Amino acid sequence: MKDLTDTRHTAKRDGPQVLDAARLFREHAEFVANFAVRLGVGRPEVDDVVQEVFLVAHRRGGFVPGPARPTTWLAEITLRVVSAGRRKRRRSWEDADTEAVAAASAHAGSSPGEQAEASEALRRVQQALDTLEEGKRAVFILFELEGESCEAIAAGLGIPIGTVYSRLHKARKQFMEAHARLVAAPARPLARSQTVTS
Amino acid sequence: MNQEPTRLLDDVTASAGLRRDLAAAARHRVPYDAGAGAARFEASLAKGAGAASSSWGAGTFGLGALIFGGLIGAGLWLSQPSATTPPPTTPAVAGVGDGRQAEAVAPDMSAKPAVMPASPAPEAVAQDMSPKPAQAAVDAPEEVVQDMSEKPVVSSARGDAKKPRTGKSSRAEGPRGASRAGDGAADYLREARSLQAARGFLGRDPAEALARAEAGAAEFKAGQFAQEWEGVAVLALFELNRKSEAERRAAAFLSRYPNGPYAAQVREALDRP
Repeated sequence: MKDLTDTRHTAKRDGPQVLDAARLFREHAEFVANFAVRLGVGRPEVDDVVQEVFLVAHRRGGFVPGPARPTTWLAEITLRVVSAGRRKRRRSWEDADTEAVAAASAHAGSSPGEQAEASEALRRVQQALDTLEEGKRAVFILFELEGESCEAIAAGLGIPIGTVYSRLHKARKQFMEAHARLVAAPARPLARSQTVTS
Repeated sequence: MNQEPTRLLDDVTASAGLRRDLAAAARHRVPYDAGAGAARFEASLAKGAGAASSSWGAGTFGLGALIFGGLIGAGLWLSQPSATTPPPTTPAVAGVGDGRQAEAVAPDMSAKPAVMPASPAPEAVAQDMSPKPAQAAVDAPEEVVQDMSEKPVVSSARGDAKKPRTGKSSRAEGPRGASRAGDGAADYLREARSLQAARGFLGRDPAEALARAEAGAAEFKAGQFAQEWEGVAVLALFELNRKSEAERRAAAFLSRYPNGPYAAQVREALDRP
């Protein structure tokens, strides 16, 4: 890809391998958008979060290759941005979850039946994700849905790999329980107050 | 315990329904207009928003740092009159290309001749990143979110760096700010807008989307969005049910841009029966 910016905005760093924020944006904006939505950010806020994440990435000087992958590194920034934003804008983000899923499912299937099915699946997954505390939720999303390795997650989030395993284990248990409840009672969406558990 | 756990998706002991739902969620990508997002990001960078005085930084951290730095700087200035700080701060900043940024900072600076933050302004984008990656990581989001809906600052034109702006004004501001950065940025924005328009026809008029994608790729041969043009074209071909051509171009696309913004959608289209 070509740099999105003119030369004034290219990261001036020592190592030639540094991925500047513009390039990161190009390659991973969609990942960040997805990750943010899965963390519970409503569609209207997604672009703001994405912008913010990459501006933080820019301020950090871009991504330097190491044990983390660009995605897990960006995930850590996203988690912080979302977490801080959630504290300040709790209502709008939480209320937007269902809408986010519905909007997200617009292109999911090729026939109305498939779309409805995919939409239901996404809704169940999102609602089950909503039951997870943020740290566990992030690990679960990265490992189970984004296919990241535990090592890359640990490096990206800056936590020991043992913590990744532990969070993943707990998250899975909680997620599966929530999912089973949703499958058993498909027509009745869980109230937010019911879904947020520790 | 070094062995990677088996993903639930691949775990045959997990319930079929769970695996099916997870598979659907893993496959699914939230539609995100990477072209428009990139344009907005570019506009922010063009305005120097990525630096310490970014949209959130100017409102909170930047202002505080400016005042604090100004107080300290004034002391230093008094004690070291021959300090190396370049005195004519305003012209230097103005030369960067975005006068509004300069004007936003200048008023505070002029009151305090030795304002330290003044000199980094022209290169703020590059300089700001280097010092403390970890520290910035911890602090920035806290400040950032405050301003999340507040986009690039229009107020700078009036030299009013204190008041955060609403999302509306900033959305309008983005392209303008970028277009002032120079012809390259203007072309970039024009291309981004054309791409966005082409993409908008996906799902409702694939023939038009394809025509626009082909035309855009031809018009912007040396542009920034080669892979996006091709991505839109491939998706349009799938929608037009021109399978063989779509699959051929999708394979080429994925081998060339396996992690690009359209890769997931193209894969999804390929997987569709």
